[in-house]
Amino acid sequence: MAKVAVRLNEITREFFDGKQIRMVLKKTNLDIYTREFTVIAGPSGSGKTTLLTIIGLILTPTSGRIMIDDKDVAHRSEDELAAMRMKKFGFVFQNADLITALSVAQNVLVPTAIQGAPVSAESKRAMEEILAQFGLASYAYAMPQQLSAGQRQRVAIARAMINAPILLLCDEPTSALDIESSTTVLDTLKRLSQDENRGVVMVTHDPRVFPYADRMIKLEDGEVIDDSKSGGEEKHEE
Amino acid sequence: MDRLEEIKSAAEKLPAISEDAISKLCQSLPRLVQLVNEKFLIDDKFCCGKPLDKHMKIVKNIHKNFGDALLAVYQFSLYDVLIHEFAWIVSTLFYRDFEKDYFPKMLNAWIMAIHGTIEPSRSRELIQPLRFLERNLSVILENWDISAKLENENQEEFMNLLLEKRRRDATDYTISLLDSGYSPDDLCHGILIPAMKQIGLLWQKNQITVSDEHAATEITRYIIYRLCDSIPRKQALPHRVLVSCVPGEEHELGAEMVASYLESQGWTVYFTGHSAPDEDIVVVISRYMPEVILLTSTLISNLPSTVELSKRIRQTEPASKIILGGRAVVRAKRRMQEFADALIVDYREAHLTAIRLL
Repeated sequence: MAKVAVRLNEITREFFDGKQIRMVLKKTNLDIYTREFTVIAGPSGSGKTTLLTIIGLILTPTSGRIMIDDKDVAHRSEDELAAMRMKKFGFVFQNADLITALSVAQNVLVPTAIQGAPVSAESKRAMEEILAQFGLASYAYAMPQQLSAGQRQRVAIARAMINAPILLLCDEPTSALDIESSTTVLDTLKRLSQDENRGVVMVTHDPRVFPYADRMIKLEDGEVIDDSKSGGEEKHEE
Repeated sequence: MDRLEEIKSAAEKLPAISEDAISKLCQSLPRLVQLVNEKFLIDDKFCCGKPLDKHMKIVKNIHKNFGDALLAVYQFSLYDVLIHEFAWIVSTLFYRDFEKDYFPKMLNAWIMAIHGTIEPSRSRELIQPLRFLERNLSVILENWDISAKLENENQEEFMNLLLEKRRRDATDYTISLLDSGYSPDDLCHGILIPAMKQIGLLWQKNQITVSDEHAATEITRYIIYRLCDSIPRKQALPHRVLVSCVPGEEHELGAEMVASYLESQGWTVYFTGHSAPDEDIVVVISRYMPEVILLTSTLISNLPSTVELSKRIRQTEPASKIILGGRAVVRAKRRMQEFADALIVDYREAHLTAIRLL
């Protein structure tokens, strides 16, 4: 059963562009679920990345509430938000941004290492499991520059998964990949999104992604103009 | 008025879609069909919902045909026809054991594909009729079962002979009906057409196969020729008519009936059959100079090619009169009028309509 991972309630976001205040995200109400591959689509400047970064607690909304576990977290302190981001979300970006001086295994462990404590045996086991799951076990001690673009992106997904997030938030993760690598990455993300304790949210222009979507949220001028779910009779848990 | 009819009349009020949006849809159609198919393949691969693997071939066909029909529906603002076509798809697939969840998934896959491929201002227009369908889907899903009954034993007897592929017996049976007082018209209208319609419904209900239907069509075509050849011709008229299916149209029995009927009424008939390319039809027209051109279209998806051909003939042969007929033309009657000199709903109207135009 899918669960609400994040609830956006009347969320708005304004930016000052040097001359005037622009509303880049108009009043938005959305529930983002686990066990769903949600795609956020729309033209450039429509507010896609703003929405993704608000969901991921990177950007603070101008107004409205962000509910996680029934608690409003929108205006918590930076430290609290950082802790929550680390625990609840995994991020994947257009470029894998792996640290070239570290091995694949060390890259995957970075999110656990930056929490201050030494990397636990449990984290190492988790890293090995994830790499095996992604078909990257034999590359654990390879350096990023020895991998293909698709493999590097899968390492980035593995890194995002290490803390068992409830949502994987992806910003154009396939746009720099060829068809084959893109399909492998999307297959991986789709598989990950089928877990009832995890969902995937992806911002993209890439039409190759659309068939993977269980839900597509279409934005235009900072407004949700369509929210389509891929049929079926599955019930969401409120 | 039943609820399905209520929806059809509400659909008629949907706003027309801009030419630019239709042109975008036309350009993107192959890609959209591909995306919709991919979506179902991916859902199957990851077990999202009921697997469709055994139905995938049918599903791909349905998506292609739905896309083609959508284009025609949008081009001529035939939203009531969209409801009808979708209800036909629902009924046909339910009889093939499709699950209810396929239909909302299919509509959403189209909506997602359109939203993903076509710019927002146009995609918003294009999804409105699909959203309307989605909102009214429950009514369509409740009304999927069709009743199919023939009116009398003679129709039943003839249909059974067709389904048993007994050409000789079917022919003898029609001759015996002629002997018992049926006119050729009675026979066509009262026996052949209802039996073939019923066979269409039996296919829809998954009770017979496509090859059963094709065999029945072939036998009926043979009988029509036999009947027509056995009727003494009326005095030859000094008029020529070209009868043709529109480009892309495979269903030619109706066109054949019209051609045979006009021939029996004394016309010189040039029949070009099914699926002839439009340039070939135009060549035949310029060679024989028929005063009347009668084009038939059965599938809604063939309406754009019907209109294209009609416009082309009007340009190249402005003196010729154009008559349009066939199931799709009848359904889109109010939109097709401007593209023809006359429309017919029944093959028996062809002769008098054509004479009136001369």
